[in-house]
Amino acid sequence: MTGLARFGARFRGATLALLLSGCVGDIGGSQGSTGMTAGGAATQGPTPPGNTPASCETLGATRLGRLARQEYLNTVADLFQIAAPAATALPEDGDFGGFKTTAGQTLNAPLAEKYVDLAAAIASAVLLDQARVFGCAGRDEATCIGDFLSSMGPRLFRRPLLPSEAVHYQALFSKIRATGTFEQAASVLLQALLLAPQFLFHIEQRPADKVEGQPYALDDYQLAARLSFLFWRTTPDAELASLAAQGTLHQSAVLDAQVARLMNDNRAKPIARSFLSQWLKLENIEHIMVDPVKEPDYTPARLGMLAEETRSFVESTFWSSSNTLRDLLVTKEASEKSFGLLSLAGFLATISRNQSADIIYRGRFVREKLLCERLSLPPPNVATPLPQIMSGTTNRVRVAEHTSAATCSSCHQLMNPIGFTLEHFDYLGRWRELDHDLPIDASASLGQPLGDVNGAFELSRRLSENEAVALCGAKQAFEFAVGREPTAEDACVFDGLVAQGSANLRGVLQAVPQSRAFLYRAEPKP
Amino acid sequence: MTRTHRVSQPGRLLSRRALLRGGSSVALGLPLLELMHGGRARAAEALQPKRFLVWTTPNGVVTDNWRPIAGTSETDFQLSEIMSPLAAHQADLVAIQHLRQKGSYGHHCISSLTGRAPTDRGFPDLVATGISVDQRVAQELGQHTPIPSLQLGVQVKQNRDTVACAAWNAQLQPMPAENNPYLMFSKLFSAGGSASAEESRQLLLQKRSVLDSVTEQGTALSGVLGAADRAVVSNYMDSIRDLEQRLIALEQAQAACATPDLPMDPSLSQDKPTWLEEANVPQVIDVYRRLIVAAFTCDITRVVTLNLSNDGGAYRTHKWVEGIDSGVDWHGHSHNVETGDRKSLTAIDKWYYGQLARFADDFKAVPEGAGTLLSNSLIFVNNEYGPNGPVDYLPLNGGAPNNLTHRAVLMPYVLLGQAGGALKTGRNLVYDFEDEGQASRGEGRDHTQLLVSLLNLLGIPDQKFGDPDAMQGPLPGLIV
Repeated sequence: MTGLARFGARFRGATLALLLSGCVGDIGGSQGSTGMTAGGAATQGPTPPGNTPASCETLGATRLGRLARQEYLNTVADLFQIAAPAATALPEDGDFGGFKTTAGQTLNAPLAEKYVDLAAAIASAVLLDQARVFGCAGRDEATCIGDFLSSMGPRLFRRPLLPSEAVHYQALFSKIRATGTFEQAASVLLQALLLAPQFLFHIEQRPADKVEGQPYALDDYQLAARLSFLFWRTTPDAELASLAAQGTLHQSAVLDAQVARLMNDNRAKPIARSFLSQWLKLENIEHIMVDPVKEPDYTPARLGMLAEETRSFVESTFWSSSNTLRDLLVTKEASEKSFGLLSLAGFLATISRNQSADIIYRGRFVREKLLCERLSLPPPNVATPLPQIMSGTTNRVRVAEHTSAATCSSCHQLMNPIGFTLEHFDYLGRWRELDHDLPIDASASLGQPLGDVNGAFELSRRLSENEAVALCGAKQAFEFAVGREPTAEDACVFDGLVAQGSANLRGVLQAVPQSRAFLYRAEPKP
Repeated sequence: MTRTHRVSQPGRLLSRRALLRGGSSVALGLPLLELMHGGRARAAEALQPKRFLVWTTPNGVVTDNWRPIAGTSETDFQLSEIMSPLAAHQADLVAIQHLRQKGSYGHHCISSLTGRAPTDRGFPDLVATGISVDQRVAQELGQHTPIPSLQLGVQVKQNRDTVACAAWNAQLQPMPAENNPYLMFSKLFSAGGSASAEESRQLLLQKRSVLDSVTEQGTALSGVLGAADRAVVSNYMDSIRDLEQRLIALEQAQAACATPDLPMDPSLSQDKPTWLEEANVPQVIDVYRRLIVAAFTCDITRVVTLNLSNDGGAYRTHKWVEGIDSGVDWHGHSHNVETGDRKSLTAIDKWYYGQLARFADDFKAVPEGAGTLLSNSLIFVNNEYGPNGPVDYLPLNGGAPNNLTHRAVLMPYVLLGQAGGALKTGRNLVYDFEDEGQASRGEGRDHTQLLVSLLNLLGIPDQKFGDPDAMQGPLPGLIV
């Protein structure tokens, strides 16, 4: 049975109990690339167990997206040695609860306008130092702009300019220069380049001989761009560009060497934060709210330290030689109160809500982020706020009673028990024996596949040994590296990646570039 | 998607300086104004068009401290503490109590203006299922102005754009709010009065050349892309063309209008965008007030949606509000009502009503014909949801302890302005209330009826809006 099919089998098992409640949406794979179906890929649902999909020839569709925020900023910084002006906002990437993406997002006028404003601001900033960027003083301007286009054009468009493009941009400059200053003409040229779809979008143009409905192999320029944006989040450097020009980048040995070079470079360091922060929603660390009257010790500086401790733990695990998901969940020196991610104060604070240890939210987090299940929201207009806690009872009892109605419990039986096991940690991740002056009961029956568990340490150990969790980690890495969720059509490719690298967090990221999901692209059906 | 703009030939552009020399301002004579808008006959009413402002805040209110206390009739009422800053405008407002909002989950930003539950693709991926009322208005009123509508935001987080977005167009695309009031200001009233006609022309040529280049390249590229990619690029091209048309129309509207005082963006000399800093929120709202008054007066747009924050309150702590110094954020304060702290959220909402009162002051200070900008406007005061914690004056569910935080009932709606004489103000309307689970109390009414009424007040005769299963038709008794 394949990895995705195993997801499917487990998913179906869970579904039997829950289908009526409409609780579980689905895990990645049945809704198109990012769960957004509009205009996206029409893909099949999860593969039935035991029914292996056709072959490794099929591939999930990749929708056209723009440069992500960081990609845009890095590229501008690399090309012009300027930081993007703060006065103009760059559109944020779409945040749909998974990895940030712009794939399939519409660029309507208000959003497009932001790019227009930004291009103008960047052009102004570049022109403050135009001698360095253009160096046209004392030279024939037409020749100088021609040189600028042949050096900067390929870096902007991630491929050599077409002759028609070179002519177009040269003419644009000349037109403005005829009645305006050099600065005005250069500014228009820069703005036009920065707004060109060839720069703004991750265009992966199909080859002329493409067979309709079939995936196509990327050319070496497109491959260089994918590699560079994945590992360094910027436009390809000279070495990648040169290998693309030679047409050798796709060769297995060359590719391997480049992946190793990119991954081992300092410029790849942010990949750990980017991947793990988006997966585990560590950005929420910035928004932990603490009442300074009730918790005078929790100054912003202290919260910052807790956040940094969490980030530093996950990132150093990612880069260490022992970097499995298990290393993240259960450390070598694990003990009852300190055992890994789920015992880190900074992390626990991010999965709390409203200054209380939110049982429901914590359970939901584990289901969605570590088991890759997707739960639906409460039905419209139910009383989601919990009632005020009565004396003589615990948070656990309050949550259990509040969600005991049949319409609630079908979903909450998945979330609440996991949250119960974390009850020894308060909302700031401090260990406690009592809740509202009553002893804490951290035991719970989690059902399959986790079984009966007492406390968060045991929960972590069960999770770390669970195959679904390992597959979930691989799925997250795939999604991060390829820019979309794996679909049933990716099953064969995905299994190959799991076989190669699922044991550790870096493994899949490093294996992806040699896989068909990276070397080929399937276009979405329009 | 392209909208219809009234665009005239660039050759007819009148120079701003020429107009200013002639002492022109908003009090231009009709023939000249017509010429500059390149328009066909704009009726006299067009000089005093109706304007629509949506004012929306999150996190509900302390209902007991918000609701106006009813007297002997709908015109006899007393403002409670939260609305007390509007005392000077009591004759210009209509309070609307007890509507329920066709809502969804917790924070109701998306459904509040669409009147429909959003599509749920897993939090926070919520997508509107219908056009928002401001955009429906913009489809009509927006035909007459360079910019169909403006979406402005105060620290509205855009990475949650689907959730944060109040405005959705007919194609169900979010219309994200611009957070930078200085940028918006300079865009609407750019070049200022100092540029010569030749400089303005040159600037316009440059801007248009950039956009022309983009569409030319995009068109060439589209020819070689697969259909799905082509659709994405075409959508971008449509937006660029839209912006280009707007650029031309805006240039003309600016020429017809005295440029207001431009505040300088303090960020220009700093690394940080100051408008995103919490401490500057009062200043940002101040700039927006001037911007909106000027944009309405100059007829650059007739529809503005002002998000005072995204859903949940943008983690704002309101340390400038008297009595608020604990560092608890807005959302936290809304939940603290559950445990007895009513003072904090009351003080915060009262502060926003104080800001709203300054808008009303400024609107009233602009004379238009026999009335004012306020009498020609309709300001819709909206909230994400209604109550927080218990509500004392209505014993719910047979008097059991109740906690209504995040519920989309008892919506605290207010209308300000007379919508050009269509709305009789100085009234407090209390509708039947349906206590969920105890339907016997009264029928209750959906806010979709209020949304229909807003359209009617603005001259749009639609009889339905939002969820077809919700109550439709205008709200009885509102338009008399």
